[in-house]
Amino acid sequence: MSGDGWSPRALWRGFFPETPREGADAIVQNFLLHALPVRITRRALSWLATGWLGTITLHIFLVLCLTGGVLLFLYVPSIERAYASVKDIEYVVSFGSWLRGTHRISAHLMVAAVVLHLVRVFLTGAYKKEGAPGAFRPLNWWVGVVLMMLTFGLSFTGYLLPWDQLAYWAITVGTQIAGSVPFVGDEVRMLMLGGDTVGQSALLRFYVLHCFVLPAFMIYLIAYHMWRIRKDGGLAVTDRVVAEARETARVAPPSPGKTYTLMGATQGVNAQAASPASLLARESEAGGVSIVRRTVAIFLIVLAICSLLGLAMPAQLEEPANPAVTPNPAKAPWYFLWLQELVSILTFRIGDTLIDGSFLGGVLVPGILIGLLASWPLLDRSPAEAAGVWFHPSRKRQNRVFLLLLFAAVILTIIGTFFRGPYWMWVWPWDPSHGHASWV
Amino acid sequence: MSDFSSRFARSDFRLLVAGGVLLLIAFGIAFVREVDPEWADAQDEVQAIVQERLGAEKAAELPTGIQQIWIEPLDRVDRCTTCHTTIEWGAELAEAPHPARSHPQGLFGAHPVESFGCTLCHGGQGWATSADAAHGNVAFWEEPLLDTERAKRYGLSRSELMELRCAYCHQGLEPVDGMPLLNAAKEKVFDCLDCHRLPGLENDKPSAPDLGREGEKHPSKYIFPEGFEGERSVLNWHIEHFLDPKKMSPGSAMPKFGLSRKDAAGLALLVMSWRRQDLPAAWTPKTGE
Repeated sequence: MSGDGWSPRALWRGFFPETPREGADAIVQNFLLHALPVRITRRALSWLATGWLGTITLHIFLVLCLTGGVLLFLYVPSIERAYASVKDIEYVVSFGSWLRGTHRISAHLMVAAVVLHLVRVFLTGAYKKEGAPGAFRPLNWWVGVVLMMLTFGLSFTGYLLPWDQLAYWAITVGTQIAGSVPFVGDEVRMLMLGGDTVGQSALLRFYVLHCFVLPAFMIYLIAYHMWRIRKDGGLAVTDRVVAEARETARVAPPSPGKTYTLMGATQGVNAQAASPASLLARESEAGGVSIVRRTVAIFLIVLAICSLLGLAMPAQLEEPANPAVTPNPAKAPWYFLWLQELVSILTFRIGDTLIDGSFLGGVLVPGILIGLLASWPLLDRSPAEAAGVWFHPSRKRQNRVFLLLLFAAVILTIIGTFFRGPYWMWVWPWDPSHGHASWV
Repeated sequence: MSDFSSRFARSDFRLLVAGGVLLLIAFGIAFVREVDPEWADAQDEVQAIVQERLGAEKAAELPTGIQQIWIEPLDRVDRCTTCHTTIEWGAELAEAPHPARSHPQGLFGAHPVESFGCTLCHGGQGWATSADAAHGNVAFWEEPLLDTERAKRYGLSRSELMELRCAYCHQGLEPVDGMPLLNAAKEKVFDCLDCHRLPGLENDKPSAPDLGREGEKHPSKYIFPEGFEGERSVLNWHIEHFLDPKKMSPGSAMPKFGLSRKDAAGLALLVMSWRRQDLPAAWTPKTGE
């Protein structure tokens, strides 16, 4: 275009690659796209392989950053002003109620999505250490486990910010459980709250963690998580495609004339390229356009669903935090209710001795589960073929145990959410509940 | 070119369009809610009433947009005047339907609206800008508007029920002008000294609970008997308790006094007003005032 002046088309130039080479260049040269693969197998693009749950989680996180970024301008992290500033967001800020509703529902959805993502990775054996040369998927699994805990941390710290009764007592219960750690429990609680009770220092700590510290870790680790996928040779399902291509190649060697046409762009740097290229090429397509289109579509859908839910289910704001009035029962955030339920089950009386289940149910059990999750890639002895395959027969037993534990946690969460009333006694959801009285 | 024709191109494109459409719907709903809020309809209503009764010129003076009375020393903001724009318009709108009705001007003398706001006396949620929330008829709002309908549940008139909020500031056992129900209760309440300690009055040998701050006891602390029918409120608990102490508090040593329901309501409101008062000096009434 040199010499013939400026054309508005220049704005769009480069966005429509015309050859596979240009498509690959766009991925390699564009900062935003460089995390995407140059080529992608059709199986990785399919919905069934992964459910695209990681992408969905990432996009929910983006929605949270967008809405949270605006809320940062409106919310005041002081115990005198926090509640009133949330009321103002609800009642006088333009689009405020929508913004807050969307932020809240997205936070709940992200917890759900990140857990589903983990379940998918487990059931497809995608964390397995047997991979292409240079790949080490367990590392990304560990990053993922940390990302999940960061998600819980973000949700938990955000819970306190409205400074209403729900916030105050959920955090009181949550930090009491953390305080049951033997020997250092009180110190842990003190570190979290900056005092003996939930007060101004706790609010400030949770605010800084929620708005700056945890998101910073999150963003860094998400980037690392995605980069690791490239370093591990793409999704685990790709390993299967590569292996199958190799099998076929052994039977019918490819014509050498076809090996470089499609794979030239990749320069032989990743796992796909290390395999017989002509056969693999048949199974794959240029990554850029397909993935960008898919990713943008998922982002739009996620943003739209979060926005619509934010409109349909506006966030509640209970009475202002009141240390003198304990709701009965005081419940932790829903995703921790299976732990609170465990604590209550494990708390019982033998004669005159009260056995406190806080440490057992609230610290030890989740600690063991997280430890098991983290070490599982090293303990899993299933063969390499089990990676990237749903419910591989060789992993039948571990899948069953995993699903059983998951099922138990889900059941306990449902019980804790819907079937527990005053004094953590059993109630039926349809029983009339009087709540507490009103003033007049 | 063929290399870009993904097997998923068509279905993904449909997804892209669906996402865009859904997003437009969401933005559309949010936009409509933003430009046509509930309070704008109320302002239109007031506009129409003023136009009809006082003419277009007067109607043009009405404020638009969210209105608020901010009383910094009390840390209160009341947005009631967003809909009730004409509360200070005097006799001309004294009989007009709500939300256009003006406030009786007499009470504004001692309680100018710019330094007292609305909810301090009326109850309700000053922050809110929609009718249900502002009138406090929503979950998690503890101080509803003390309106005629609510007063009827206790066989009281609206002004009688509102004496509760008068008494939040006008404390003490001296009679106060404009609080007939509580003044009558204050005459009776000295009999309670036989057993109880009352606020500001010493009792050397109280044999019953100290009632000095009874009004601070949170609703969640009140226990209603099994199968209790009727209003589950602190006010009703006290009324029923005054009428028949053992019914509400089994094993209580308090005798029945044979009070009328109205007397019981007056005493109940008085007891509920016994709470600490946290007012800047300029807002604190003198004794008996």
